[in-house]
Amino acid sequence: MATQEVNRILKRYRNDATDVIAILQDVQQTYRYLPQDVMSHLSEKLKIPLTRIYHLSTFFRAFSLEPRGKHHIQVCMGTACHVRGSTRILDAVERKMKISAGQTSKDLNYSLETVNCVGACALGPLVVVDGKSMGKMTGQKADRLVTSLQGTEGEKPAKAAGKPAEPKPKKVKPPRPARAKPRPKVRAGKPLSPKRAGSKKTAKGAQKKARG
Amino acid sequence: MERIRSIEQLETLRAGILARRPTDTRSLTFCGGTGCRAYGSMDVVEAFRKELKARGLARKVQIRTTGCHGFCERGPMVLVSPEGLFYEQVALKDVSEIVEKTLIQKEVVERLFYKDPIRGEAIQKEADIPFYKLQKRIVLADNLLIDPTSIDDYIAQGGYRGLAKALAQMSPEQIIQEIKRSGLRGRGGGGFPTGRKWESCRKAEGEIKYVICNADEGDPGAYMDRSLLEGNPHKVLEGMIIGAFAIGAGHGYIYVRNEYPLAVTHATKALADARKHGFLGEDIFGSGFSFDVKVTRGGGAFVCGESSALMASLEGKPGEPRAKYVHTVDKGLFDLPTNLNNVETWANVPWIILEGADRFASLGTAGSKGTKIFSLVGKINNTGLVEVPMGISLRKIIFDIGGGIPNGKQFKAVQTGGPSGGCLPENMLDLAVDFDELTKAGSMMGSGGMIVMDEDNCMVDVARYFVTFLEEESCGKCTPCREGLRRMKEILTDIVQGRGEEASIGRLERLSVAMKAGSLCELGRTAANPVLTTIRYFRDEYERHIQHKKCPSFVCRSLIRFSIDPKSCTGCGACVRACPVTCIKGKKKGVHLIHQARCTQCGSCFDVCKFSAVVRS
Repeated sequence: MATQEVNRILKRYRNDATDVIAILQDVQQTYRYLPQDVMSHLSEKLKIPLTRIYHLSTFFRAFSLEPRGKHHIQVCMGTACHVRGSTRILDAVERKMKISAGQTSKDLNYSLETVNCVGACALGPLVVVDGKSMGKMTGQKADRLVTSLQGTEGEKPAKAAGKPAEPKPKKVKPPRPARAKPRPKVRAGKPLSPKRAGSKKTAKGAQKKARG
Repeated sequence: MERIRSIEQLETLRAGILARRPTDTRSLTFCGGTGCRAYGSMDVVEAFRKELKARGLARKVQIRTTGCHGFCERGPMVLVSPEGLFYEQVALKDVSEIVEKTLIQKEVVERLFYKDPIRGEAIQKEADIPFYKLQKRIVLADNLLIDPTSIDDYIAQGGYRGLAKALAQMSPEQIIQEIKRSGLRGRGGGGFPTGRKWESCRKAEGEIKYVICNADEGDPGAYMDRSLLEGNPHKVLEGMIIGAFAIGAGHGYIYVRNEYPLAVTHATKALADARKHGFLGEDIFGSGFSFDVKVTRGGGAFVCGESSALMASLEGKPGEPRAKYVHTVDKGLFDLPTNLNNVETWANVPWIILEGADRFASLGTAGSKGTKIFSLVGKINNTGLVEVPMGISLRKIIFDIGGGIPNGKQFKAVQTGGPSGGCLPENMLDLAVDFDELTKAGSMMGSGGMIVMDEDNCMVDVARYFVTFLEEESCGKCTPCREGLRRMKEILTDIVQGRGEEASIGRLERLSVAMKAGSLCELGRTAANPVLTTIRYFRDEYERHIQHKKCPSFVCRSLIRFSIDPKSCTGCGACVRACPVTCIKGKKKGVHLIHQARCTQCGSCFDVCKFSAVVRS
């Protein structure tokens, strides 16, 4: 694992153990999860027990022990969104993406999460894709949103349908890949079917075809 | 930048800023809060810039992006000064029309005015809109006037005068006395008198002391703290510096929720600017007092809004609360005296110091002074932030300022105080909103979330929603909260899925008593409030679920059934296209049928049917 990157993060916080949560946040942002060897490395450098780092990483929502997808889809489940029917929006997104909240698609392109209020209650129910808010959702709009996302993935990342929102240049850049080799992507234009995502062979073939 | 060392220097700086501002130019003000940004307001700003440049007006018209105006329902909005015109829901296509008509021909664009939903008349000026007119804004007022990334804007509005006065003319004891006299109580939920808290922290033994600004606004449906920190970070900071001086603290933290990136950016920028001007750092205003602040992001745990959990998290530990036999003002962060206040509490401080405790105390009720910001959300016409004097009635907030319930629906309940609060029914609408009255009614002030619900919301489902939320967010340290919430969720799930028993309600009530008596922190102690208030005020709904296995609001899926009325069905096929599980069959222009065994009761068909042929039972 690239310890150089981790050391750079550590340096930014002057190896201060009280900043461990901020350090973990930066690691999470860099790798899209907290790799085990990085956690051991941090424990050594910050002189805090690995058990505590593990405790922190499971306690806070911001951290994940498994790689999160390249794109982050958050369905707001705040009270204002709930009374306006966010449960149905989540159902629609889960059904269309074929993963449940908290999971990542097998091709590591998408993570689906719920979030407890992003504070844009006037637009509820709300779905946030890579930091961009899509407001006033309906089940059908959510369906279309997922379809358009799956359509664009593979060509231009982070391009989503719906109203654009906050310009966040940092997040628009695809985050650093977690692995040296990029995972095979599903062919553009086709919705993600479980068969396709599940079978490596098909996915690889599709990629070859797309490239060739 | 030269450090400001006296009131005179601050006034000279302010005069300089004002003198540099052209008085004859017009200006356009845009709301750049998170809500309006989600509507695409920043694109509208960009379009205006381009349009003005193309027409050679770039120098003649000033553009300012401010923080949240609070009127989130009608964004993106544009304010034209000096006329004070207010255009709502401005789209990209409206940009050239506004520039052409209003800025060049000096006419108005009638169709973009706010229309009063009751009288139907168009209102030209922002100040005349009931939503703003009926509010009393002392904390939020500047949000409309200043660019949160510009310290000059804040100083131009009289910013840091309160700090200058406190440091140059008042002793720490005098400041504490002033805050005590004002009657300010903590805006984060507990409502503890701020002056008393400061006094205890000042008296606590120890060389090193801390102040913390709690911006870990976890209550779903509440976003006043975010809007304040995002829209006016210097005001919060000024309050913190005054507080730190009064307490004798040298270090401060602003603990912001990770989900609020814009607030982090603006707060960080404000700190840097304040340091440059000498409002932070060594020897502030030449008083010998030194203080600095650091911004920390939360890790996304609701429990970290609790003071001892927040402090644990600041120390780099999991955010678990501790029993507070010893108060945090004596032993808080790193076991040193620590004073924690909420964003809104800090933001009230400069105004009190500058305008005097008496003016503040003249607002509000006997036990609750000043104003409070509420975030009015849910089934309401004017979603937004509402700052009103304490003691105003719920009816006034919801119907006069909030504009009532959309689509002609019936009001059912209003939930105040976040997940620890309660749901109040229609016959309590005349309740005067303050700390004590809300607590008496079984709810609480909390941080000021106000979620309005209409006839389509099921109260058992709402109770289950809050319990599910709290069960997920419970840190798990103490048993009553951890296990009690889990059991409550099971019982409520049984009720909404049609397995409720006669004894269920009694069990919920007994569990609440145990949780209230045995939980470690306020989170567990108040966790049963949503359940208790819904039982207290909406017992009949629980009984309908339990005895008749019916959900009167058609929310609980297991208890409803969708079918198609053959008389009304025109066979348009809209429901077939909408159904996600393809369980609707029928010939074109023939009567359609729902396959009940496959139906997931998602309601998509009900929503799309234009002929009311899909019926719920």
